[in-house]
Amino acid sequence: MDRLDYLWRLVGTGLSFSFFGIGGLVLAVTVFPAINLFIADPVRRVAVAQRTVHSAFRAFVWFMVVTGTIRVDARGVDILRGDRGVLIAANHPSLLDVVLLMSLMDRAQCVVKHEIWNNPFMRGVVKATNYVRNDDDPEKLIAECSKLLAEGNNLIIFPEGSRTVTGQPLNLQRGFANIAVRAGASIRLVTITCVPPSLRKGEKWYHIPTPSSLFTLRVHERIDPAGFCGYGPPSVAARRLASQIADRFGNLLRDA
Amino acid sequence: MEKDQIYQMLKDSLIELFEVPEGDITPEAKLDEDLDLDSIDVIDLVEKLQDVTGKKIEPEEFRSIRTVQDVADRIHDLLEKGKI
Repeated sequence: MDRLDYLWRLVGTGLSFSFFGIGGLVLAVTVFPAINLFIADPVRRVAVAQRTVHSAFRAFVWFMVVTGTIRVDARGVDILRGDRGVLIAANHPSLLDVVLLMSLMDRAQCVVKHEIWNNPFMRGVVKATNYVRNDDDPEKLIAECSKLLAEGNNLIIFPEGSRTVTGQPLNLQRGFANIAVRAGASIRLVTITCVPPSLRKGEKWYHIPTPSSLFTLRVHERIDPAGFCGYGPPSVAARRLASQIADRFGNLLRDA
Repeated sequence: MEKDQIYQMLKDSLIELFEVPEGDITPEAKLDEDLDLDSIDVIDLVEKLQDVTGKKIEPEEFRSIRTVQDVADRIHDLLEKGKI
């Protein structure tokens, strides 16, 4: 019976990955070019494109849950949906984190590496959604993030920079804290745990755990950077903010 | 400004801007690895050095910078160039 369950979930995982790839490709060559072609108003175009991503990710997560490939326990989603102009900072245990977050939020922006703009399949998507392009120019990045936050967009950011290395304390980059301090935007903390772990960095899709992974997503407090400013230059405020958030993440994840 | 003045000014800036422990600042200390500065910090540092020296510094001039001594030398060169 266990063996059957395992095989079924292996098929489910394979199907999910195929769906993700094929679905993404179909959207990228049909829906997103159409959005770019037919919706001239940039504000409306971005809203439609973001909602499309949200719906596609929701359908995808639903498929994975229904097939028993993963289990999801998300709490505090209403708080997340009520946020405007907030940096959503989450830890990053798995490949699915951004998909989960975007499936829960209908208007979310994220920072994407600039190589994606050269990818013929992905170009249409990032152009339509207006995701922030990271050109390795920090001044430009901060300016663009500040503008989006001021317009009321929420910005998903993984302060670790890349996926968590299991068994090590979170090592946060300070970029997110610098954006918060300089944009005057508050930071919403979100923790994600995935037990047993799967889809970690360097892991193959077919290495699936038994039982299926339970993704637990929790929405925590919002931290206002204003309390950290005023003691010195923004660089000092960003350091204090990043260090307090690293401690807080450490506590939250230990209790999780 | 003399070389040792420049070095002291740079040291003060690193402490003020980034709360770098004074003992960590040596001429050979690498900005990223040893002093934990990131790319945003380097921009802040360049701005600060512009304010203090009154010289315009192009970020490109800091591309090849690795150590504290590199920064001090670059500022020294900039100030010398201005005299001619």
